[in-house]
Amino acid sequence: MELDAKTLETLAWLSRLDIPADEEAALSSSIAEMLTFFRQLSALDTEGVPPTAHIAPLENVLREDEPFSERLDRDLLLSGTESEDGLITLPKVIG
Amino acid sequence: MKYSEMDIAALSALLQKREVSARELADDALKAIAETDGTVGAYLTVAQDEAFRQADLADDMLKNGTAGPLTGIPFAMKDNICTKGIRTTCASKMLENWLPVYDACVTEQLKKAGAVMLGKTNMDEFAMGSSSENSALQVTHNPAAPDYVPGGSSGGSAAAVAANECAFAIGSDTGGSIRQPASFCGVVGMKPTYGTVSRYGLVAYASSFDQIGPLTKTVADNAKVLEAISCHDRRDSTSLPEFDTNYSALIGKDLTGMKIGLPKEYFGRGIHADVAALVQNAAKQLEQAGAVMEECSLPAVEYALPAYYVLCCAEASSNLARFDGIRYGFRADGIEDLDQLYRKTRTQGFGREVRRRILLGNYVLSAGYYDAYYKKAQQARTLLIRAFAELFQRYDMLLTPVAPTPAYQIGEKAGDPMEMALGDICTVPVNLGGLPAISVPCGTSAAADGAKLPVGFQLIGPAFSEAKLYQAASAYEKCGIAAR
Repeated sequence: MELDAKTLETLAWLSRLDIPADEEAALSSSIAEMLTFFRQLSALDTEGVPPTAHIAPLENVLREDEPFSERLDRDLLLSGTESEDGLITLPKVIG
Repeated sequence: MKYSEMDIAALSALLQKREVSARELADDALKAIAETDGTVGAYLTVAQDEAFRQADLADDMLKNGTAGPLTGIPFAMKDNICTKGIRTTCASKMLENWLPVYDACVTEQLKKAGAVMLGKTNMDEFAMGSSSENSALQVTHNPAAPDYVPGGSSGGSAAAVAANECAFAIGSDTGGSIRQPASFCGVVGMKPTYGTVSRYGLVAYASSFDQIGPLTKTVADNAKVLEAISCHDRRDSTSLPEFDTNYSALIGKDLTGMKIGLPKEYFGRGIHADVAALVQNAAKQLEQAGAVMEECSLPAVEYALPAYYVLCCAEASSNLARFDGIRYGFRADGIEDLDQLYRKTRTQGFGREVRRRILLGNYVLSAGYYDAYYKKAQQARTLLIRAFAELFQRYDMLLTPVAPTPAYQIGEKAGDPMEMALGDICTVPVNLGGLPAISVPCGTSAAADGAKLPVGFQLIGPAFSEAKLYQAASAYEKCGIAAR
């Protein structure tokens, strides 16, 4: 089974990835092979079974809004990000 | 015996008696790395200055009476765990030169304990893989047989311990990434209960599975390291609030009355004859040590592997969206607009396996496929959790192989990600269930070329059963040593 070109293109767009031409065939068949493997799950009877999103027995509660003084912004800008005058630089977004 | 060959307990005793200083141990360990790592390739970064700085702090702790069991002990850290000011690459071009501005909780805990970090270890890129061959930066060789893989994704950590390039190492385990390399390299590896070691500062791969744990030379050492790194941490929303961290408590106690199940599904098709024989032999030794062994069944594992890969790819596609060329690390050149910035950066910065998993993750999460894949896998996860819970009403723990085969040759499976994935069959059910499991060396398998490849067995327990797992593993280790 092969993954059709249009589906691969949509996936690449969703993933913000380009598919190099020399990888397209191998990637397509490898993804198709995994999807066939995933389809084994369809044989499993899951009627009425709740999905598990997370294993931790925790409730999503808000913590106290306590101020803290750690300032990482300057350090973050120095950690390999392209920046100028304390701001991250980007290509022009609005034409 | 050389310092580099000693375990934590022996080194700690020497440090406490002032027969050696932390600085001398750090120097010795760095020399061992310089001598050995050229052929092993375990380390991506050796942090010599930081190691001496931490060693001096450890010597102060030893002098002023605040030292603990890990004070002055040299260790290695997997390169997906943040270390302030020391590059943390995830073995990816995306983060090749990234310097974290903060320490992970585990890094903080080990600094507090006075342990001495020697450097950062190689791994599969973003922890995606089972042989460390997906590293974009380096090849790691199995210290037991250099033509063979060390396993993965924490292959550098396992190899560093096995090659005596550190006294212990820290790894992370999403689907077996501590236990399988531990088995391949012949060291002890623990994947603890989900939520007992903070993930703050661990670069996320599949957040509902990822868990940090120790790789060591002995079982007792492993318990000591886990005691040092596990704690509640409010910066990780999945960190559990209260649990007992006295993991060494039962080591040395006899196993009389302990019931261990052998799920027959783990010993079936695809399991190498030597692996099955060595694990069965370990079962006999545990029986002689007082445990009651009984065959049992866990049919739900049949769906564990596809369920795991659906969920981990889905979580990875979401987690790795943050690598956009803007906030972290690598940014592609020659960019004209924002969309191109994302696409070029991600295509050039991520390796092939990472891109494949992101694409798969986005497929199973997309409209029209979500119920058939993602939700179905989450339901399979529920069924597996229930099946484990039923078995743990009858058994204290389960004994299984860690991997279906011993280590394979470098390059042998690299071109076949599906075959590589099938090697995770024995380890992923544990991560789906959030359970603790330990990998313990139990012998070697002779390859056709004469290589002697280490093999481990796995003990799986219910949540928070680490102390019992260490008890059984340690009892085996003692009778194993006696048998040798």
